[in-house]
Amino acid sequence: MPILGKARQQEWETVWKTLSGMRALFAGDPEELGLNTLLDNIQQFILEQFRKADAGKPAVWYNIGYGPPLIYALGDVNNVPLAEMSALCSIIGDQADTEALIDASEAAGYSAECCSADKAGIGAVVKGLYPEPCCIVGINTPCDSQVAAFQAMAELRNRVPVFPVDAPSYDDERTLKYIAGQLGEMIPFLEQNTGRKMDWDRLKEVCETINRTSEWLWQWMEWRSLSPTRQPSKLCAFTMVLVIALLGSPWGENIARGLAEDARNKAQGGVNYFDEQVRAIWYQDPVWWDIQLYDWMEAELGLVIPMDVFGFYASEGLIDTKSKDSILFGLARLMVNCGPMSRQFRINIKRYIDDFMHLHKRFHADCGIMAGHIACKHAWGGIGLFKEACKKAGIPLLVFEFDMFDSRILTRKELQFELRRFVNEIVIPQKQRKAGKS
Amino acid sequence: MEKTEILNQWSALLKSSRPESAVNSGRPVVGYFCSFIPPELLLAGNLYPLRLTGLGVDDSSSGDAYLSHLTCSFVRHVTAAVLDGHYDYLAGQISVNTCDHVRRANDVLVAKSELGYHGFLTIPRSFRESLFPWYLEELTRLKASLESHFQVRITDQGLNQAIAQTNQARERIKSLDLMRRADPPRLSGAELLTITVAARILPPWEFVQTADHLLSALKDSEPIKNIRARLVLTGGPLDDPAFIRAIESQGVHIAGDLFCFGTRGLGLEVEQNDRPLESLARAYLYQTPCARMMSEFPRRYQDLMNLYRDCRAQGVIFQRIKFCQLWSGDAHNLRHRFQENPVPLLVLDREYGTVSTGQIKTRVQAFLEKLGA
Repeated sequence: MPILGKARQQEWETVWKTLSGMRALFAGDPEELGLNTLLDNIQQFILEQFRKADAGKPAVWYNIGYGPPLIYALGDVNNVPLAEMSALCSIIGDQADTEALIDASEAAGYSAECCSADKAGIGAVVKGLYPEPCCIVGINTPCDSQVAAFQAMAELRNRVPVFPVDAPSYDDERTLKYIAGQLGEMIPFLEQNTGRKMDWDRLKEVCETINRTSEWLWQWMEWRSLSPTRQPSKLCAFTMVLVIALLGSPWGENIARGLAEDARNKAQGGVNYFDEQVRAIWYQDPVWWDIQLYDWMEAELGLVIPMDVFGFYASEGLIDTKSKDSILFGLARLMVNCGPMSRQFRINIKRYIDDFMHLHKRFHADCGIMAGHIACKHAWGGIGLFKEACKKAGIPLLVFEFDMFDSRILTRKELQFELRRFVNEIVIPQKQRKAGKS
Repeated sequence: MEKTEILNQWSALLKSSRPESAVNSGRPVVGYFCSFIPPELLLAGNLYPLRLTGLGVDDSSSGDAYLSHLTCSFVRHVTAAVLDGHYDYLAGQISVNTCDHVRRANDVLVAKSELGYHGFLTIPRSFRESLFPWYLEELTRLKASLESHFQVRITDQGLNQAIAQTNQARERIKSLDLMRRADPPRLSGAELLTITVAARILPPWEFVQTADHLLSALKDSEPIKNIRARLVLTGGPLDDPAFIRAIESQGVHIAGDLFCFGTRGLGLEVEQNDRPLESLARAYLYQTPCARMMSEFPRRYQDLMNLYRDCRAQGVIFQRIKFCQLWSGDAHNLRHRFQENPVPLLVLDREYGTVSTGQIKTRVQAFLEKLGA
């Protein structure tokens, strides 16, 4: 299916066809406000990317962890997150395409042990699915895989100029000021390589958009924290997509508002779409390769995910737009303390565990599910201490190895087996014992 | 002393879980994890710097339990060594945000070991000059933390003295490296790794004394013969000479190396001046970068190519420990460069703590055939 009247690569056309089909299927359904807003705004974002690419506008590539606000503020510059095709093919298009991209990167010598989000992204680079970059920017959060992917992007694209932001492993003001200083340094770099001048008034508008988006996301989390949670579990993880690709854009704000209003409508409507038996904090990566699995969890097990680590958007305050310095400081804080994963993995394991305990309490969870994306070395490296903390708190924890973008590591059937056994043999009996005691 | 006697002595040192020099030094022994930590800082505080390894530790179970089997086996071995009491003579440890694995090992050591002191540094991931003050400040904070915990004073004079002592050790290593690079060489790659690891366990003055004996002994030693190919070895951390021995058993001579525990990091020279901490920071930050540095692959590649040329090598072997994503990225980038600038490349993944001799030999034999050696 052509995009903007032009034939595109098969992977893009598949995404576009599915996206258009889903839009047609769900349009006008008031029960699908959240999903519709999400799909509509992703579609708008993709269209804009193609418009800019067709018009020869400069493109800036970046890795997971780096947010797009500075790029949005440059005006007609294309922001291209490396993991874009990983997410689009898996969530919307054809999962087989994601796995083909993963295979393409490995065939090109990229390590099988790196994160599949990056592997599929590198595969997309190898297959020429992204507009050519004028420069590459990035950050070393959330993980080593980002460091490797950043360097591989640069190497594969004729060593275009790069600018990495160094995010230290501390949680203090000194660190945020250091990162803010680097964002300030990055601006002339972006200006030089894109040929666009930074418009500080536009950056201020971008930050105000981010502030409104943040407030919607916080409201959304509040509605989802109610028990029972009536908005589907499968909508939980999309904060991550928003933060990586759309933060600071009207599309991002629309998605956050749509999700919040949908959650509010459903909570106030009082209609239960599934029989909630067990509430779990899904801690680690979502099952992007089969998002319908969440429907199965709700329908078959009564297992609801009110929040996961990709959905959690921490309350670190709004960006103060009164000066250039305060804007850069706010953006730095947002990038490393609000963004899913970057927040939990950048510093020591205590933050990771504390956030889990916070979510567990705030979202009235019965248990935790550590969906161990095999490439997440910081998460696996913390597994012993995390298990001990859960045991001490009396929180049942399911841990399994899988891959968020590659269904070949742990299949749907195997995953269903793990979940069924955990819910029916561990969590529900424990809840019954507790209910009996009280 | 004969060459063999000295090398045997150092081989035993590498395998010893309680090196006498450290245990009987009378100084608090502080283990450290990464090449970005200047041991001079510890020496100047009358502390004993000991580069942490997992050599001689067969069982990594306690490290595996906390860090999972999906993390680097080197880091798991070191963690297990500390948790299981192999390092019970340590007064503390210093970690760095080298990689996700080391960061998590630090979390485990802080939570579960009985060590009295834990230092932590976060090092910039780029050589941009604007980031240098951060690293200098990190060293300044580490200095203050060591002074406070161990009740010592680290003065500029003490730092300059430690720099002078460590520079002497580095000079000896450079001389020994020339003996390894020579054609024909008088030291094998495995022997040189024994030396460079020993240099990270011994205090510099003790190392220098023995290294001088070795340099004298080498003048009269027999050169190594029957070399089929001279290669350069690069990649991630490698502290086990047995790995190189397995490669060299096939007629290879590792004429040059560029990896952690090898000569990388020992090639730098630190200036003695009235701002010795800054001098240390400059030398250590701008050393040949490891793969954790986000924008420095071009420099790393250039340093590797210079080494390749200087060693008159015929190919490159790249090794890394399984699950290390940073160095796996480098392997990808090297392959990419070598498509443009053809250099024969063999990539070997390995596990720490065991040398898969048979597999290595087979891979090296095939590589030699490809080279026509």
